[in-house]
Amino acid sequence: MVLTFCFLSCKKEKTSWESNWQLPIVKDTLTLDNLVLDSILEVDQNGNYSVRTEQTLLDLQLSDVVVIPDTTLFITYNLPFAQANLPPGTTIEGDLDQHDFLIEEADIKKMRVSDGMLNIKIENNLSDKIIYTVSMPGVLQNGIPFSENYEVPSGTKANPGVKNTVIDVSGFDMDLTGISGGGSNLIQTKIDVTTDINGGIVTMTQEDTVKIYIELKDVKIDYARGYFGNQVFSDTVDMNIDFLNNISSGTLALDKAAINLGVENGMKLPAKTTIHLVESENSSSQIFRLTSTDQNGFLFGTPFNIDPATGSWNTLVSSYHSILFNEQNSNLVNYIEHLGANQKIGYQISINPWGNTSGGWNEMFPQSELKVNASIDIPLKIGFNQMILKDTFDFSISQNSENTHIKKGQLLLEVENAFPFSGQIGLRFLDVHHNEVYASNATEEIKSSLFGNSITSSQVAFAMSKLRVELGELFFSRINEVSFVEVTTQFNSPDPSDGANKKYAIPEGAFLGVKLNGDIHLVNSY
Amino acid sequence: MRYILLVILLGTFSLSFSQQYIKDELDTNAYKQVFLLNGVGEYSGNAIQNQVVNKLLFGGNISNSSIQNSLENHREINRLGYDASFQFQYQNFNNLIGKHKKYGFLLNIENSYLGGMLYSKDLFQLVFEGNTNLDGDNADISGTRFYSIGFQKIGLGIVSQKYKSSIVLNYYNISNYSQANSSTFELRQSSDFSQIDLEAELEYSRTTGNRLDKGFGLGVDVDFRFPVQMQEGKEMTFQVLGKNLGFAQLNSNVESYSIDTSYYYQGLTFNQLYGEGTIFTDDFELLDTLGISPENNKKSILLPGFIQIAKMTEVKSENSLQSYFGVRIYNLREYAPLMFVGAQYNFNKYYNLASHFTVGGFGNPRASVVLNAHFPKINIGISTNDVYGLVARKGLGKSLLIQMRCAI
Repeated sequence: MVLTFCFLSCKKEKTSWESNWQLPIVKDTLTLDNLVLDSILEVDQNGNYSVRTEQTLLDLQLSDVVVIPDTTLFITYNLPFAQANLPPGTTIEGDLDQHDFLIEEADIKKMRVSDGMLNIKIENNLSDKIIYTVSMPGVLQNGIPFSENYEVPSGTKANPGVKNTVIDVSGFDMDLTGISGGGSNLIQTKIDVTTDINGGIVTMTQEDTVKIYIELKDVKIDYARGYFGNQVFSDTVDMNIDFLNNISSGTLALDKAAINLGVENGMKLPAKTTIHLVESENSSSQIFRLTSTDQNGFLFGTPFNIDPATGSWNTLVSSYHSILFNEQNSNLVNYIEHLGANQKIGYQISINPWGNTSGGWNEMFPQSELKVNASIDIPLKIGFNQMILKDTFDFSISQNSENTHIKKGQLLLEVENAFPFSGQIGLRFLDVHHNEVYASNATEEIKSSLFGNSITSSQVAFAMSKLRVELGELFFSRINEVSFVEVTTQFNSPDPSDGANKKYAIPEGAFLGVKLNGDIHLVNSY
Repeated sequence: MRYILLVILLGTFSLSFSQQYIKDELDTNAYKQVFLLNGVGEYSGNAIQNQVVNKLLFGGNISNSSIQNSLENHREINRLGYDASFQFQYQNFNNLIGKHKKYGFLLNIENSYLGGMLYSKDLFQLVFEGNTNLDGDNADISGTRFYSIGFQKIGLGIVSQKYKSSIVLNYYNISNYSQANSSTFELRQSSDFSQIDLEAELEYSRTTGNRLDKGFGLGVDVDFRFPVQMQEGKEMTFQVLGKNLGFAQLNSNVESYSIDTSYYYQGLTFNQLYGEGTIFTDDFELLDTLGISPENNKKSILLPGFIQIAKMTEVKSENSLQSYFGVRIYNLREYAPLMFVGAQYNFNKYYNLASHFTVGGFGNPRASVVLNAHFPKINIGISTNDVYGLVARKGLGKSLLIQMRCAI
């Protein structure tokens, strides 16, 4: 201990020496699959990439058009005379009755239940157990009308006997035309009362009330026929493409693009569709609206009709209406070049726009949908003109300059670029308030593949570039303040012959191979 | 000059001569009581120059040129070690015991810090220069061993009145311990540093915590001195000395790492860089990422013992020039077997000067000087095991040993 004390007391200053280290930080290869969903990439006949995708903008189904509310039928039955002594096995038949489903907007004549429950609760205040026969003539299970017997225990008025039953009605067909056969939204019931054949004489008076609760709960249907009402569905859909918010300036140029808006109607009802607007807002808060020249038979804000589907069940054929936007009949190319991150699409769809013109014969099947699809086809022949892509990442590295620490360093970047675009990289290190702590730009640019003379075994041409980003003593002296690193890349697509930015197709197999090394000057100290 | 003063201070404060004092002198005079104080401060190696070690020990910036000078001294396998200790011993011959009443009692108290390492030139270069100047783009650190221990001991024994042969049973307290051994540790890197391969088979363990009692042990010190009849009636006295022959149990948690794997690293992918748990987020743990986690357990260890066989000089010798020689073998692989041979010249009955040449131990061959002053009841000795290193910045070690003996 004395020795240790002496050693420590003699150490008036820290021991330090300097060493140099170089280590790999990143090795990765980026392809278009890393940047874009590979499922939307296609290679055309020329061996160049295109973005081809189909997006569903709207999908209306039967459950959106016809909503079956939870409905409770409360049925009571009283003797039509003052008193009766009912011998064992006596049946008193009830009357056929009908009850209204409160289905809004629609007059349904027939439907098939795909999912749902029927809760039946029967209360008995008679002195002996009673058999209740619950019949619903319009409700068919495998073609057989629903009729079930329920034995309900005896009870009193104050404390009636209760029988609860739950029935899964999935697959049940329901005829809602009522007793007359010409109505809609009507369900028929009939209650019969039978005394116990092994019991005694049951005395029943007018004061005795049979109470039956029939609840249809969580019912979903996959077939309906009737008149589904004149319903309007309208919305303005917001879609955000966050990646585009990182583009801070510059322009992108496309050669051509096409979007096909297709409306598919699988419902046997007429419809009318209006697309009010398609617009986008870019990172500079500039709004750009898609316009059409009517060459495609379409104008924004003008409704177009959608014919009903034809056929039935397995023979159902949807009707289609398609609208093509391309560089000839619209400003679609300019719209995409606007690079709007926030997209808005406003639409209105009206079903039965002219009322009940089908005689109550709208019909929807399990596969019936009313869909609006957008098919996008953008050949990736792109030109960049000083387009700046900026992204910010979290960064947290701390060091104590009193102990072993990095004094200065540099990032050494070796890039193999098979894209016909060049890039100039800059780094800004920001504090927690996004104020700049340190900034450094790469000494060289990432060369476009058109400037290279290397080629892979799969015949993809690429250019090699070596870049260096200096990280000076100032950076490492303030590294503890850094909370974010902002990576900025300025893209261009220069022509090797004149340097002017032009549009180039992205070849199949294009890649960006990155090897990033860190070269640091370490001060070892203790 | 500062480090010379420090070593002197160490010796003076510790007021002792160490167990590591190579040359011992036979005094067959009969005393009632003997008080011994030994102290040593020493480090030595075969490659790292004092101008580097001084800065490592006492602070200051180690220049690139001094690192380069030391680097040039390195061979494939190198040694570096240190030894700092002090000892108090009391011998009492007032009440002799044994069949022939020849043995007195002995009390011994000692505090020792000892450590050493075997290492490659590549390891030195990695530590002091980094990886950018490695020869052949590879660093072979295989065979690196490191050992460090600090212990205190108290012992009771018997000592013969004439030859001062003794045997002592000691209780040891282990205050710190660490040990590393890499049978395989190879770092290979591509010429552009874009790929690093590491093949490692490494074990490392150390005691943790602030407590000073991290273990205990038992051991013996034996010092057997005997005359040998030589030709022409001459007699020489030999010594068989064994120190710290025993073992210890580390009773606190010992943190142990064991790595037997190969790493192949070319850099991270962008997905690994961006998101949770990356190197730029606070929750990143390098050892976890490499799958290295410590185990806590208890451990039994051998004490750092040695055996020395030597021919001694004698106080009562009538020859003004006496020779001495011997060999010392530690149970540490970091410490090479040490051989020494030297001569002592008695100026008069009070003063003598000895010098010997040593080969082995932690360092290169070196010359030693021992200066003794014999007064009627008090002996004072001062010596160094490395004359050149004591004064030269380019020396490869420093050594100062001090002894005081009071015999009444």
